[in-house]
Amino acid sequence: MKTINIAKLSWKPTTSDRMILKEITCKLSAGNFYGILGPNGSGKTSLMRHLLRLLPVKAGKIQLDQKDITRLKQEEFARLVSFVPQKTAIDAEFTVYDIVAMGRTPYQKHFQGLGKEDETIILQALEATKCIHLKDQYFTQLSGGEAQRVLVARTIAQDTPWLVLDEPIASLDIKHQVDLMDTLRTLNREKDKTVIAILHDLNLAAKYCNEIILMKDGEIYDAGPVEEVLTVKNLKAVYEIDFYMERNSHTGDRYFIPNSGGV
Amino acid sequence: MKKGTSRATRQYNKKRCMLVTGGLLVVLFLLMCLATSLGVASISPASIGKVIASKIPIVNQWISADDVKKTTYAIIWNVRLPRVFLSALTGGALAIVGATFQGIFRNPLADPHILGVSSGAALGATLAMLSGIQISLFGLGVIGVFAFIGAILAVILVYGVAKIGVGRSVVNMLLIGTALSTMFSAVISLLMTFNHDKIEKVYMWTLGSFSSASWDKVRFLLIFTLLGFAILLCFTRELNVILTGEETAKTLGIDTKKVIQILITISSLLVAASVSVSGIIGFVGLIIPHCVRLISGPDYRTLLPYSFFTGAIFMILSDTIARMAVPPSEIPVGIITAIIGAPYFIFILFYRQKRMHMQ
Repeated sequence: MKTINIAKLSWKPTTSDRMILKEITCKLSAGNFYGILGPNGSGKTSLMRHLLRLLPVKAGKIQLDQKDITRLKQEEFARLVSFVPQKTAIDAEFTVYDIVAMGRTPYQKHFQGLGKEDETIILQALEATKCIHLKDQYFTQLSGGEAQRVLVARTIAQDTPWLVLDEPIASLDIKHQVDLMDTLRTLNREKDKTVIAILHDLNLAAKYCNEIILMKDGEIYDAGPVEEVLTVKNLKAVYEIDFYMERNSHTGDRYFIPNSGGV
Repeated sequence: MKKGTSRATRQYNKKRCMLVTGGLLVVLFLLMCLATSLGVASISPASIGKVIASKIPIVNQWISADDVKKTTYAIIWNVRLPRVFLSALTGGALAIVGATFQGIFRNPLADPHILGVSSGAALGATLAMLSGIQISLFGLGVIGVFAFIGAILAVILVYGVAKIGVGRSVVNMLLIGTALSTMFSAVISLLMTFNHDKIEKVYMWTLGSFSSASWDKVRFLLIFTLLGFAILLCFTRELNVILTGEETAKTLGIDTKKVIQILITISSLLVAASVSVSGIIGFVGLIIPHCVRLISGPDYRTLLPYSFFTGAIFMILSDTIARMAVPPSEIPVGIITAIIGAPYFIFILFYRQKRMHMQ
């Protein structure tokens, strides 16, 4: 069984006295669609950055398939876990094709160019995210939605079993949000990828994720199947505002609506 | 809506890259011949051909330079050819280091002198001029040797200080390099105030010149340049990915810390070697990579080779002007590179922006 095991992970930045992560312990199993939710400053991003090895594990342990992630070589790790950042400041004029081709980096040796197989994978990734028509355009000139799709295409080209995304839909309009979540669901269900995404939209999380990790103050408040974790009671406790829930009588989807003062 | 087609031409294409590199090589060769024939004493291309041919094994069995006048022979072989080669190597080396630094620091203002290498070299050279010591190593005179040691010590110092600090980011290194660089310059000025008689000599050295070129210096720089260029070419893919962000590079499987360390070491050695044979020549390392990037895109697979040959071509041009403009005296080549380089750079910048708007 492929898993990521996080045990007693704690973290305090050197410049601060506040513990950002407090003995986080959880287990992520392959095949799921995880949503990490929680208010700003609850430690979602820090947890994710540890998971991606962008922050060194100082206290506690993270194991990927029973191996300590700090022991893996950078390129070995990049063949297991890929990442879509929230925003990318790419100011170099690379074409979309070039950017997606970079997803093949962990498989290439020095001096070795892209092989026929790589090229097929890149084109398939562009097709899967509906970006094929953007192939020759500069990445810098894309709209927010297009750029995000291209970055997802890059992780598809990277072809890793684990996919980590930092607020992938935060700056997209509603159509592109749904499109992107659909793409991720397809990857999860048809390509057997495990998706771990930090999300802010409770309703999209309720619709697409099957597992939720709810964070508050550097700790995991609750984690488990979406139906059990996303409840009005939990959300009230974590976000410290009132919520009510409505259920769509046709689809059964649940909607959480913040209940602000007057109404 | 025709943007798709014109853009596709910027896509990397191995065949085109080879072709352009070959073209630049031909231009470089022709320019080298032209630069050798130009000068106070004008020399015919035929005698240049004969002198070169007579030095090449096997070929020299058929072609001899016996009918070339002794003085002409000496000018070609001992003065102009080493000078042309040295300027080509220096221009190429500075350009590829500039391209590399701009990538790893992700800062368009980064140039080969930014890590304090050059001011360290200048301090070394100043000390050599003041001390009056006479030694020579690898064909370098005492000034060259001191400059090389000064350059290496400066980088080690910058790197060491940057490592102590929190974060160890590349930005840190850039700032520490700039700070220490300023400090070295201040020490040079301090030394100068006590040694008025040497001011002119030190000042002229810092402006850069190829007037003391020799085959020994060419050999010295050739070894560093060929090795350095070859190693940098092995890292083009890493450089491309790092250009899109250091964290992204990490998640794409690149050991950024190790790669950046290697690149900085190689680049610093290249700058140290070139500065110690020719003084501090500014601007080439800054603008050549930008010009190349504006025309053929940011991809290091094309950027590095194109920059190398364009840098070499530009430096030979500048040096030829430097020694021809006001005969019999010479203008320091660093002045020429800035005077003709800056307006050309601005022209390309505007031309390109105009073209972008028209699309």
